[in-house]
Amino acid sequence: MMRAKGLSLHLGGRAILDQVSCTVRPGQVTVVMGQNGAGKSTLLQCLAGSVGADAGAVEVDGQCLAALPPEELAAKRAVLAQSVHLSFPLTVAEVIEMGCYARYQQWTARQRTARIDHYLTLLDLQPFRDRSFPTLSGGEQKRVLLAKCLLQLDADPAAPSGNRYLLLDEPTAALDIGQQFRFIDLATSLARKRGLGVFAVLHDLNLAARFADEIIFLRDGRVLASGPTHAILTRTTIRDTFDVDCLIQEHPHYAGPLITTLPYERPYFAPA
Amino acid sequence: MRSFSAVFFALIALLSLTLLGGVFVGAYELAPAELWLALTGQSTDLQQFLVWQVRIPRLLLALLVGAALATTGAATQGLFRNPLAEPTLIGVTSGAMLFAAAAMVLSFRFLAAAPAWLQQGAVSVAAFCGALVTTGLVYRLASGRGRVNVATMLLAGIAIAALTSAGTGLLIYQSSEQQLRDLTFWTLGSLGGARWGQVLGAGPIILAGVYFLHRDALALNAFLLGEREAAQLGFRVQRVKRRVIIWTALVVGTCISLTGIIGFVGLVIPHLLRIWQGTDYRRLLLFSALLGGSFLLVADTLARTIVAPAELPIGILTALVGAPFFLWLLLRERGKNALL
Repeated sequence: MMRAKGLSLHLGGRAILDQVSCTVRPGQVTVVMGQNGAGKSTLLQCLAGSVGADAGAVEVDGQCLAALPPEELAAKRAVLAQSVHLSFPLTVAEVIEMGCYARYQQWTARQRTARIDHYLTLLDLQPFRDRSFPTLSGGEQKRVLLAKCLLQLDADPAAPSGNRYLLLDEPTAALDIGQQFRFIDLATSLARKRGLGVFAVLHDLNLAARFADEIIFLRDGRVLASGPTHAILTRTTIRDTFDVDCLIQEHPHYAGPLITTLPYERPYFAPA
Repeated sequence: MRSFSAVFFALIALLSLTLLGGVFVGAYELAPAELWLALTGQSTDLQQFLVWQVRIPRLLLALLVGAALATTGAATQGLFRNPLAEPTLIGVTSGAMLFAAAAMVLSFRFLAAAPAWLQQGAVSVAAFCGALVTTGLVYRLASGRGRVNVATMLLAGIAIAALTSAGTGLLIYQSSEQQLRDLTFWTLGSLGGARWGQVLGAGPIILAGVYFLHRDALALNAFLLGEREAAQLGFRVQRVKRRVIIWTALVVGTCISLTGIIGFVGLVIPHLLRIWQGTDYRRLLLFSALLGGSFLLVADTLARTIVAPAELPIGILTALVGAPFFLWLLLRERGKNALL
């Protein structure tokens, strides 16, 4: 279990995070939502160990995150960045291979190639193997980066390690609506299958409703509400988080809610 | 993607060929048979001296310096995530220049009676110190709270370069005709002074530098994604940055102190290899060393033969040979996938 306790971070006199606590459980998907600037990405970077908080701490399976050496941390959690710009082009296979840099010496070249091939096939990327990464479309690039993250969290058959976590920072940004759905579906199902704990920053309420086990609503660096998706995804929490009213219906095609946001008018409801 | 070993052996072959060509060609022409006799110590003292004490150390120094400049160029481009980066940018060159100019002007005042080797030595030592001092300064300016900001370092390097070049300008203003000439030639580089002493002194530093930079190849690959991403992949990025900067300053400082400023190698060789072989630093650093060595060897061989018995400054040759080739490559690649 990955657990943040009372994280606070102030930058330039402003509270970016204020007493934020949250939990990421193995095999489950925790989604954080909130307005722009609410502190979602900062919270994710704190969980990743890339940003240090002023107060509070992050624990990974009972160990203090800040005390873990970077190589060990790399085997425990992987981060899918919001956007990646390569300063010089690499091929798809070379980008994916970075996932095993932390244990480069432990694997032979043959083993590395086999693992890369495994993830190329798994994510349907074999035709792109030797393509230059920057020439790929946004959706393809995301899949390559996901493959890199999964390789980074690849369980070592020789030494089965503890729990592992996948942190997704706005994974759907810059993807078209079809890709958004497919990518989250792919990432969460692969993660669940491997027992990875997923922590994702998302903006789409319906994607969150469909794929999250738990949702955390952040506003101005504070946790407004958090809990299991079905219980927490209510008109009140959405309005308090985003200042947006919405219509929540039963989804016609699968069990769960269908949320329609109503940013300006409230024709369907009396004011709360 | 061609296989690693095929390219590796091709580059080794190229290096051997250029070495062989370099031994043959020169102001003093040697027939193959004479060369063989000289190499095996059976010819006249003059020919033996020429081959063993002049030509071979010069070839080896060209090889070492070319390898050093190309490797550090590739490493700094990766560190700064900038295709225009060169060791020049972290203050190595500008500092060496200022200190060398100071040594030239001052040695005329205080070491006028001293033998030439001492004056030359003073310039070398000064250039080496200047390279390290300015790099250290730029590094300090860009670091705070245990972190080095490479963007700040780039800008600080430019500011310090402007300052030192103002200092150099002041020295030029003060200098005599002869000093001005020396200084100008120094900024165009020359391997003319190469002897075994320099090869044996510079060799270990340069080889160690290439080796240790190569050991950080994976980290440099990860840096292509960004520093935060590299840290998340398990690298200690602050240590990597410090190592790359220290080795670059040491290696380039050594080169400049022995040969003056040789431009263009650090820029053109890594890019050429990127277009040909891709960016993966596990190959790039090693191949840069090999191709950079061959390139400077060819340039130096041309420098000492085209206007023989006089010599052209090698900086003219590296630009003259390198720039058109590089442009041709860029134009050829322009239509293809965006590579740079």
